[in-house]
Amino acid sequence: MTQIETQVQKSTIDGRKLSLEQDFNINKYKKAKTTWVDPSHHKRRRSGFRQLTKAYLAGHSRLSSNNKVEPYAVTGTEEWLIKAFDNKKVSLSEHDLSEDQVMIKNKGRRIIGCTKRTTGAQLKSDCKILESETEFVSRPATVIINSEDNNLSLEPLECSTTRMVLRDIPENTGLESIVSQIKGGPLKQVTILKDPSSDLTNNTITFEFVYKADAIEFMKYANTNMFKINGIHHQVIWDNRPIVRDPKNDYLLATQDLNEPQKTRCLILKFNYKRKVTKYKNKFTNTIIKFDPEEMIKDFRMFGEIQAFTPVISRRVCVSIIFMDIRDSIMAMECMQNPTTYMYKRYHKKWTFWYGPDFTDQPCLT
Amino acid sequence: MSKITYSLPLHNNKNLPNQNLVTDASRYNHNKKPRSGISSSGNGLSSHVRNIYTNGTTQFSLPVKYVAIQILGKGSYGTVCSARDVTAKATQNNKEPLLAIKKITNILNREILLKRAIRELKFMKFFQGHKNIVNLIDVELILEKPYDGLYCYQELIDYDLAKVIHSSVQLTEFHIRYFIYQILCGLKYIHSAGVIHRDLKPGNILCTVNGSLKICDFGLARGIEQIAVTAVQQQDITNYVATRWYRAPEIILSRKPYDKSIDMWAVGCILGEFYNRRPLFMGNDSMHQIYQVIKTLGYPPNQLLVEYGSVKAWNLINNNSFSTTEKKDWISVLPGASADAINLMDNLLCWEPDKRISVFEALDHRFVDNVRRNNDEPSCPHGIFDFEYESHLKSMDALKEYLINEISTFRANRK
Repeated sequence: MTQIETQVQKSTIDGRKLSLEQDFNINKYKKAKTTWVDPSHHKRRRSGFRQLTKAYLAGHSRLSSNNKVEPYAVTGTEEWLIKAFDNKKVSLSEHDLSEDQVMIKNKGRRIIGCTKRTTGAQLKSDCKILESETEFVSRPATVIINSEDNNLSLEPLECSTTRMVLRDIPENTGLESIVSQIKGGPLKQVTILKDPSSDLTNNTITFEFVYKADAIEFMKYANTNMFKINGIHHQVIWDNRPIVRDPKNDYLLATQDLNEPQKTRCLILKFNYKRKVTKYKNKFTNTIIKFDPEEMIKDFRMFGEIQAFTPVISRRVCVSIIFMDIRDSIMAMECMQNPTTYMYKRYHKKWTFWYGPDFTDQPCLT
Repeated sequence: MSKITYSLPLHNNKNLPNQNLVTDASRYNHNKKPRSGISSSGNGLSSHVRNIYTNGTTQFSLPVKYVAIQILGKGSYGTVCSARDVTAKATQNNKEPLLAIKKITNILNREILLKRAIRELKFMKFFQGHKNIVNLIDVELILEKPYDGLYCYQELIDYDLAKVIHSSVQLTEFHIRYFIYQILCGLKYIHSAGVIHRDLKPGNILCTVNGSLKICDFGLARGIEQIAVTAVQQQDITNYVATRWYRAPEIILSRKPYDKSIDMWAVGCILGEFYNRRPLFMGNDSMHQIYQVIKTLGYPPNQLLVEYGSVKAWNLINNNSFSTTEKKDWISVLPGASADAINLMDNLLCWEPDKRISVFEALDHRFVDNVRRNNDEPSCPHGIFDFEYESHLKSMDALKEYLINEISTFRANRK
């Protein structure tokens, strides 16, 4: 079933017949759809680059360029929600939501606030409420987040069980060496803590998983001798210290769409240009495209510290930017989609961008 | 005897309960007697029951926890297949627990292959945990024919560099710098342990979609001290060192011991291949290989050939079949290469091994400046790899026993 068919079916259920010609710009939608990777390709046997790259992309949201403003939901107490989303711009809605939900508006976004922690099952029912009670937008309503399932917590003291610490890191062992050995699932944040009394550059590193289950799996793996960084087994411990962090951008953690795969620290950008197909195998020729990553790194560094900037294997110029913090990556993505920003002007048309998989999103094999 | 039926992806599937799995020396000594006692594991499957997979002449015997998916490649060493670990959990984002299984065959028939298998295992253990070297997950030795061989369970990587280079993947100067930098980082780690890889080529460098490289296949690796041997032994060694196209000229021409610089020559060949999208020197045999090098680098200095002291080198001095002996300009050979790349090529691909830059100098080269992470270029913390063990292993039985002990140690240390 294609996505357009899904939309029509949902609108019928909603009792509101929508004219596709009026409410959707079909041309735009189709244009976006042509570049959409169908997750149903997942099970196909892949041997070529195109298929393998698709496999890499599948399951990760490629945000189309014609996204409209969508509602999404966050969890927290009503008092906290109002505080978190800036007193001046919040207004509670009279929408007929369930008892534990409030509708608030912030910077043009409609936000469903859940005043108690929800489970995955509850979130699905929340989705239905949201669809029936709000106008139909370009995609099904987006809901979120603070469930036990994904542990994307907004409250700073709640997620210590997903955070770990690695101490006494030897000299000449950089962040890349460490992160390359971390497995289990996507990370929310990596932090380098420098001990002022030590000369070492990276004395202690803390890292926080998005999912609690992944963190537990990694901890099991890290306790075996299989976990080695440059030949040395390091002890990983849970970091139960309270997090002191700026809550300013924490609302970004709540923008996860249940219908889309995980938002990650990794952004992938692919350059849009008409590609002249050259069969290198036969012609033995190469065209090295001029590409200077420095400016791009400079642009994205504005959002936060970058852990790595790497090339991606693709038929077009393609790079990935891995931030230290998932919120920086979400912020960068939002900026690239916001027509009023510099990042939009610079990247929106020239580049296609989406969330890529975190390098640590690999199962722990023992 | 318990039987397990699986839907297996390869042809003629059967299961093979009670197969002798050799994991320690004591069991090896009794491997001719099938074990009658089968211990049950938590999932109700016997820990000694194994599944076998056959596809033509390829035969795999795997523990029940691994389900073979497809054959990835075959070579003189054996076969590699992909598999799924059914006992490991997928990540919350549904990343499946996949791995690659390399079966090294014929090791029990030929001493040299057994020696290589031992070396490979020891190097994989020694270099475990480096970001640019492939990780070994498990290893086991199977003695029953036709499944016999050393099974190395490794992380599964999407591509190798040969696939990347010889496809329509778009490479930019940034890609090439980043790849070369990672190769140099891996090589620094290897060289710092006094080990020469000796078979560096795009096919032995694995590459993930996000551009992380991992060096694999240590079957031909040797210690630097080991190579300072007698001339007769040296001649024997050169016969199987390095894939020809990436072979340094001194391996073919010289009777003297070679050193780490042969790996740097291979790095130069790979760098050229990135720009050219085909191997730089494609020789059909060892002398044709030298002629291919001469076409680009010009004639080697006579003094150097005299120093090599081999018949091949002497014949080369007296050979006037080339119309030109001038070195070609790299810019004409490698279209699109930057000035930095050309300078690095000059330093990597030169006839004289002494003039070739070391891996440490290459990491300081401005070609990799933009992608360099100064604080993340570790040397091997275990020091120089000790090859002393090889001098004590004089017979096939001694080698076998040593391999079994190595496997046993590795498996014990995993926990």
